[in-house]
Amino acid sequence: MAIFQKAYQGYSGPLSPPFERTLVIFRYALADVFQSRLFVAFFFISLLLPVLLMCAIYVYHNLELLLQFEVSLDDLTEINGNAFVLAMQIPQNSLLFLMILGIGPTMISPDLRNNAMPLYLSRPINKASYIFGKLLVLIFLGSLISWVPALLLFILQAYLAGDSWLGQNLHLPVASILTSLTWIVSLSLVAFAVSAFVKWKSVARMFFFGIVLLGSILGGVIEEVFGGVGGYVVNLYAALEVLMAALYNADSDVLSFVPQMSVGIAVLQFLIISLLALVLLTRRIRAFQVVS
Amino acid sequence: MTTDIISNDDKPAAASDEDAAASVHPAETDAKNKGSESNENEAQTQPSVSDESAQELDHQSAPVIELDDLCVNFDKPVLDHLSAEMHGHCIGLLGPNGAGKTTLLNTLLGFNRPSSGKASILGHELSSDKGFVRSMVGYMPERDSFITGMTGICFVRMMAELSGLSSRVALERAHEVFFYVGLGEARYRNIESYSLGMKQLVKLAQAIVHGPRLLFLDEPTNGLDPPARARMLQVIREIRDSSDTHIVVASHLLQDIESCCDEVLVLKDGRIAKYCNLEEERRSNRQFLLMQIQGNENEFVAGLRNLGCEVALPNRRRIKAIIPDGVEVHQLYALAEQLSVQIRNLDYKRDSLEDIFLRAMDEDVEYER
Repeated sequence: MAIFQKAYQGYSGPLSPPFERTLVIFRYALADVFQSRLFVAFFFISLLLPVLLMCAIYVYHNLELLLQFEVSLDDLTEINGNAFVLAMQIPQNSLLFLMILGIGPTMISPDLRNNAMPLYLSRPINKASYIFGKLLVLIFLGSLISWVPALLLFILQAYLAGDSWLGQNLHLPVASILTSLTWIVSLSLVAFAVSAFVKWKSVARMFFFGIVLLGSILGGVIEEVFGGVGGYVVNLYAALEVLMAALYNADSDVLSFVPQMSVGIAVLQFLIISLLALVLLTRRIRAFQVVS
Repeated sequence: MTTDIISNDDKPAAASDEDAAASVHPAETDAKNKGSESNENEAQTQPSVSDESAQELDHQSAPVIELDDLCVNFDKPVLDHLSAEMHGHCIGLLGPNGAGKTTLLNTLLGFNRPSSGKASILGHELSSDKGFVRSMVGYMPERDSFITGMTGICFVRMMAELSGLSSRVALERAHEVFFYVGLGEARYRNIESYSLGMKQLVKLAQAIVHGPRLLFLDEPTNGLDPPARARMLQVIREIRDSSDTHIVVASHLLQDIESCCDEVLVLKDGRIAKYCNLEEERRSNRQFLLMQIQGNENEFVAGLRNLGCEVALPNRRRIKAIIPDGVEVHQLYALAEQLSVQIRNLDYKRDSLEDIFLRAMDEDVEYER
């Protein structure tokens, strides 16, 4: 039948449950992220590190290969929390920062700039679903390049090293998951808050970079001048180092510098910064602007 | 399950009012069945129903929009004690700029929290059923609103999915609705490349893709050239006539409202200046007669005034008279015969929307429910 012979009719079919609307936002935002070739390249490059480490673990446990390379077992570092922090967690933290720098500040601003919020919020979803849907993208991608490969490495190492190693290092997957998720969520919320206030993508990226970098510098300066841990309150990376040291049971010489700060304060710092970003974000995300 | 947004014109007419009243909207029922879910910020709540069908019958007979002493303040009162029950199929929101039309729409969509009072849509109170109300409405904002980096079809499909349609059905209806609004050939183009008229149509497409029961259109003809405007109004009339979807059109263009709406709410300074059924208003309002006479004009005018008519002389030999209740036209002919005056021409002039609007603006009398 020709289309012009038809007329409008309402919809009377079933509706999806509310949580699926959050996944709709996640799905479309994820597709949008993968439209960037630069990001696709970055994503695959970031997966090279775990692949290389996987090969290294295989070689580590292959005596024939070690003999061929004339490497003695005594020359090799023991695979434990220290090795995981050095080889995996610290590079991953940087990769996560780069990933969030690339896509985080651009996720909210286009919707605000193009007045899309009334379209979202006039539907049966709320601000929390919207923010969570967008956040899921960064959590999903961040997990794929951080704790998921770390977990695979852990499983491989446990398989090759045996039960005794597994018993001694059972805390490593938990440490990896907690550290990575804390870093991803807090950085993402800061990036979203920046994105909600700065409309231009590149300016938003610079702003986000500045907040994290200047926070570290400012924290260092305050610590140098006034002493104590007050300076680290604005330094997210300092809090992350405290968290890593505690969760991985890493030796003090592994991490370049661990501030004299308790884990509780570090966690509190992440919570405060995340909540602050969330409050700013929810105040900014509105269906309309009030002109008084 | 009905998935088509478009149906054959030749299809049998919609069910009778009795049938409609007895039936339960399946989408609504489905959403209700999912139980209640609360959210402290913005409600995603679904009403818990003990006697669902009885409650639904109440909702079917409920006003489309009910305002009960509704106030909204932004530093100063923007909507000031609005009370009305609107039952029309297509309701026009009229008012000069700044009268509160968009604020009222935003409040009905749950974007504004009322300072006091209540508002209900199709029997569901906004404060308690916000999430459910939003699943029943479609909204076409006044300003350009879209999501960047998407083709038209992808955008409308996403909006349908956000309204609760499954991915497959959403895609199907997105295609259909694009053809319905006349953008079928442009559906794979990026939205940013659309012209202003196309953006208006795609906004309409996203508002109707999920088949809402109530459609809010905020200045739908803004910035459109005459053919595009005519097309937009045509589509609105088609939606009005071909489904049980109620429409609320906010506009400051009287012609747009007059061509689409059966009821009009006139706002002035955040208050209701007038709420009326257009056709009834035209019929029942004071009746104007425009007469062209030959003979002694002064005597005839005096005679008309003796009958109780209000008389104005806009032009020479043309008399504009307002006939009071109880006076019939044949009495005017009798008067003319008595005074030897020829009535050469006599026209009824019914109130236009412009007359109604201007009178509402002039009269500083607040509408009473």
